[in-house]
Amino acid sequence: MANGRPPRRVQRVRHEGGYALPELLIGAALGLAMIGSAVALFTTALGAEPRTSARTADIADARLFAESVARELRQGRSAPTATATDLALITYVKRSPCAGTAPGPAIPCLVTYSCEAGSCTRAVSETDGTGAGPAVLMVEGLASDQVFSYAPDVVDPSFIGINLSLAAGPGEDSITISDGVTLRNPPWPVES
Amino acid sequence: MLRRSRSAVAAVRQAATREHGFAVPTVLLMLLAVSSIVGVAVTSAVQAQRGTTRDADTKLSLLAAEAGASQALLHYNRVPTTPATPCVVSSGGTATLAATGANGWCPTSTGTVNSNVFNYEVLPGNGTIEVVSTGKADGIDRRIDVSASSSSDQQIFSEFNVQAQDSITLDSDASIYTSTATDGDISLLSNARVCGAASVGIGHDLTTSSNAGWYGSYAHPVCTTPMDPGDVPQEELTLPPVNQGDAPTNNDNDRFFSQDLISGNQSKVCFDGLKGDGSAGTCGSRVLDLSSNTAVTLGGSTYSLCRLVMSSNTNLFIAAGADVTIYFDSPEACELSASEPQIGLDSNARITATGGAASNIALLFVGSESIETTIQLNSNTQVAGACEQNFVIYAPLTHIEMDSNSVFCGALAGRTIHMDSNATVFTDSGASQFTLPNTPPHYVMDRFIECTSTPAADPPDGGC
Repeated sequence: MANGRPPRRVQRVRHEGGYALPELLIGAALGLAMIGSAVALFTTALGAEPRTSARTADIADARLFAESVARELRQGRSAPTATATDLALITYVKRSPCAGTAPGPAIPCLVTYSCEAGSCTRAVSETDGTGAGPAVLMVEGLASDQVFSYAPDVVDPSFIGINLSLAAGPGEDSITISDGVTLRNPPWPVES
Repeated sequence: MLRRSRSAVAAVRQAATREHGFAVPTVLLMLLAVSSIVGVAVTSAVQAQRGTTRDADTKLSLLAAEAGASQALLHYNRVPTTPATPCVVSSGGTATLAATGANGWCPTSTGTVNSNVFNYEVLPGNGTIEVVSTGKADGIDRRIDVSASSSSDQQIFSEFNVQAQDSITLDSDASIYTSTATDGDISLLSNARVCGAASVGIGHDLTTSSNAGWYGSYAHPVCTTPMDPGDVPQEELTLPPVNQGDAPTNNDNDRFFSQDLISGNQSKVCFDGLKGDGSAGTCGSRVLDLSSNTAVTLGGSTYSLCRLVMSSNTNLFIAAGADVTIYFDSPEACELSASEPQIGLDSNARITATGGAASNIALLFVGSESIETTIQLNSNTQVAGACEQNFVIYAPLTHIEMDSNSVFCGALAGRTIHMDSNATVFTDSGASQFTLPNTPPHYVMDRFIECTSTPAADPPDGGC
């Protein structure tokens, strides 16, 4: 104080400077713009969330469906019914009885996939069709019910393809999940 | 004091009017916001990529597991084992024989395919092997359980004397008087009968129509115990293929007709392009053709034919006490078309023994997956008509047609069996004990199961 300089505390305040009005205005404008964008984004996301969640779930279901069908095809024995929308497959299922819930050794069962109105169901029964369990919804939201394909032909297929096309909503791309399996368990007698 | 206060107020005013910025905090805040958005996007992308990578790894590990099972089948088909060392253990590209462990399973074999590791364990059995193979890719494990069987040295007919891989169809008074099984359907039409135990494939049926029937037993000449077709048991049936070994080159074909003599007109019998009288004939390579009241007596042990054609009261005799095996080579090796039956018996032709001691004869057909092969028995023909021999036809890839009062006595196995017009199959006591030749085993997969990724407990096939 003796040399006429302001105290150190005052000097520190002076160094930190002030808020220039333009900066404050620009900063506020940017902040508002960011907050506005974030709110708009959040609002949009919030509005689209149910649709996005449903589509994500459909895609996940479709992938799971494709994987489970592929697994059952891989260890299947024959395909008594083979059309583009329906597949009845005699395959090994680790349940006892076939339509039961209790795990057991792998036994031959009749697994039937049916696709209709954009949805596919799966039902399990004994190989002669008795003891059928309920049809369980496996996947929905399909753009086409033509899910299964066969090679070399539907009478005695050695390769079965799976093609799941998910319908595209407004502003969405359509999604197709494809897989295919060569049947492993020979021979393949098919009922005439 | 007043002066001090004035200077403090002046300092605040000065600071407020200075144009030192807010830019750095603003930019930092914006960077933080942008980083957050980018971070969320990157995290989502990484998660999606992780899912894709995991999908790829699960497929690679399955491929590795299947490679292990294939290697096991290859080794067991190529490396002869012994009863004391029934295991073929592979490690580092070397296969060695070993004994089983206390649990009956072989020591673990290991290998790699495309940098992915697989290991497998084998449970050897009587004509069967079970392989449990585990494939690993990037920490993802998948296990499969493969069962395979071989016809070598097996009593194929111990349970059923008539067997067909795909289907059995009886029409127009055709009858089977012995146990019958198929992996497909049994269809009985127009007074046809099956008298004996029966079995159909999983998911298949025994159907009857027009007075046809299935009976549980047979007491000559009556079928007894009518059965409900809906009660027919369903069982898996696999007929392993024939392994003819070196029979095409190492056989007794050169006995024709120096030791296996012809009865009747020598010029009416032809084998391998030569007639019995030594002149050139029109029969093809390894084709035995008998016509017009002739007969040939077989006394060797192993023959390799492409076709056997018999017509017009001809006879193929098996010497008393002889054990004869006739291999019918594949249509590819014989250059046969699908329209040429490998056995064609017509017009009272017979294959039978000369009498005396019981004979064993096996007609084994290699067949083909791509070219249809057939056996045709027509018009009052008889195979082991006296029903005193152990007579076997084993043709897992061949269609068998019996028509017009043809009679077969023995054990019979084909891809399909179709009987018509009073065709009849009997059996004898010895046929069910018939053992197929002990050639090097050729294991063929007959069951594929995917297991849980880790075994529930010992044994290795737990969780399969």
